[in-house]
Amino acid sequence: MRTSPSLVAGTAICSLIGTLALTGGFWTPHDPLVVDATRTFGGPSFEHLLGTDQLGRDVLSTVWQGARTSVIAAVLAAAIAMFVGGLLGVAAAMAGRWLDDAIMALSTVFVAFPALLLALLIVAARGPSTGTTVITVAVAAGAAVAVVTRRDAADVLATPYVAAARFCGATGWRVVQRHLLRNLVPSLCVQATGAASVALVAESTLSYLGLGTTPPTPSWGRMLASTQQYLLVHPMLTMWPALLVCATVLGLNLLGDGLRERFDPNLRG
Amino acid sequence: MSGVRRRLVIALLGVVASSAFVFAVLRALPGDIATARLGVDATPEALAELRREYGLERPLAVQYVDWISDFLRGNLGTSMVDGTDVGGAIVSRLDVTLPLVLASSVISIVAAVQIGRRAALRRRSITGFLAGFLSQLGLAVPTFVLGIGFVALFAVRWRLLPAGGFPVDGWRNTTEAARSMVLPVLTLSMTQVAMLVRFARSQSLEYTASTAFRTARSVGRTAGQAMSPALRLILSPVLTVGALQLSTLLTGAVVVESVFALPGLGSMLVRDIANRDLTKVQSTLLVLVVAVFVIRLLVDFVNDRLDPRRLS
Repeated sequence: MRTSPSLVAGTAICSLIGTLALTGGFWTPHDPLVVDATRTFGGPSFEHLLGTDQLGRDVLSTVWQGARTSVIAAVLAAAIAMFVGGLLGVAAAMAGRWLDDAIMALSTVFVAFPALLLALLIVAARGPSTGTTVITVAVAAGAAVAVVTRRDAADVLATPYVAAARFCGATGWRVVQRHLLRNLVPSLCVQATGAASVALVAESTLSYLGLGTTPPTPSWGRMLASTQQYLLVHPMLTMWPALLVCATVLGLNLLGDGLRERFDPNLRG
Repeated sequence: MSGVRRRLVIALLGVVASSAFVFAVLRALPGDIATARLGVDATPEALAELRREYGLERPLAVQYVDWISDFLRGNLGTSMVDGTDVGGAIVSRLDVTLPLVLASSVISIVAAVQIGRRAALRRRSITGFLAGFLSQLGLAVPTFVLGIGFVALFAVRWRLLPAGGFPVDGWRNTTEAARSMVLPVLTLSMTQVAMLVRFARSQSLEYTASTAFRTARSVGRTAGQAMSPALRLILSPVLTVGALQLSTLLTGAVVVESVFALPGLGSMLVRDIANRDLTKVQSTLLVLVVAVFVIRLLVDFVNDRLDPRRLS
């Protein structure tokens, strides 16, 4: 099978950022929180490869740990959305009748409700934090996952092999285990990358607005907000977090496209 | 007309559900709205005073019904921070937000249809490749990063346009006001175009495979001429997705207004949330939600005219 370039590029970028996130918890070249007034706006040097920021903190270490914040938010939000959305979608498709209607009505309301307004609403009630961002994205993305999973599950349930299995006496649980879940995995994987990329953008956007991750935890969004005023003199300070946000989102999007091509033979060209 | 009535009922139900949801999240979550406003070390007297002033000691259901009936009469309440009228504050901010959102939607829809059509016709050429590549790139760049990038290039490096802000005398100072809107509108349209182009392109591709297109080509029409009847077909999904993505447009407006320090509805909302001005946030959010549902309804009607097959 020909490997698609999107899949390779996406996997490469995502693994790179993932490695940054995993290692950032244990080791970074410097402590990103140590302020040093004698070396503000330092250029790149062997000690500080990407220079230092307006408070003399090491930029490389800050973006390194910022990766951790972003990746944790993205992975958590995607995982919750997949689990809850998948469960609700399968339940709706299997149960039918009023449960189906109820779950779908609820999902439709959440899909229709603008996601950022939902985030702002919850931030207004609970105060800013990374957790708030994760919950909001998980709710918004989970509702969308539920709708898609319900549709996919209904397609699978209508196939002759499910009918045959039922005819041979398979219970509902066995159909779910043996036929439904396996067929849903590809679609869920693709949706997970989408949810993760939405979560990543949401986390950095809310942090940029001062409504997301709170100081002192390093976050790409907050780095962008705090360095924007030095854009004229020190554009590189803003460049690094901006570059990383874009690269990560691009990586997730490419991974999603690559997976979709791989799973869906009709798209392979 | 039953389709129309059904949509009206669904939209109405959506608005009612959303209003209850907004109210429930802001009021029913743990934490008291008066304490949230005054801080944990406020005196009990000050807290009681604030609660009495805003009627917070009454049952939640009564407060909700009061809020909605006032809302329907056009009274959106007063701010908990500076005591100003919320309705007036919203209207004064529309000066910036309305032109921003309207201009961006028109530009992004027109651009997406045109680019998508060309990309489909020259699928195998450099144009088609470039359109796909730029759309992928545009999807990866979050709105606020794009905004900062534009500021860095157009305002800081080339000094062509203001980096942010809005003239104090508003649209009376027309040139300055227009100049300060260019970068925000550009930022907001770009992210929308990147997304809408994909739908315009796939719909165009579908049309180029149709017998209508082939027949038009075979009697000697150029590809562009043969494509022209498909415009409304391409426009329909773009409008539908555009309406569904209205939330991203509003999201974008909130973000863009903050990046460019524009005195719009979005930046007001962000500031009110930071100030924990909950009564104002509550009414502002409801106004936005109602706007979203109304626009979706309108797009639905426009789509029926564009593609009458939808009605049957």
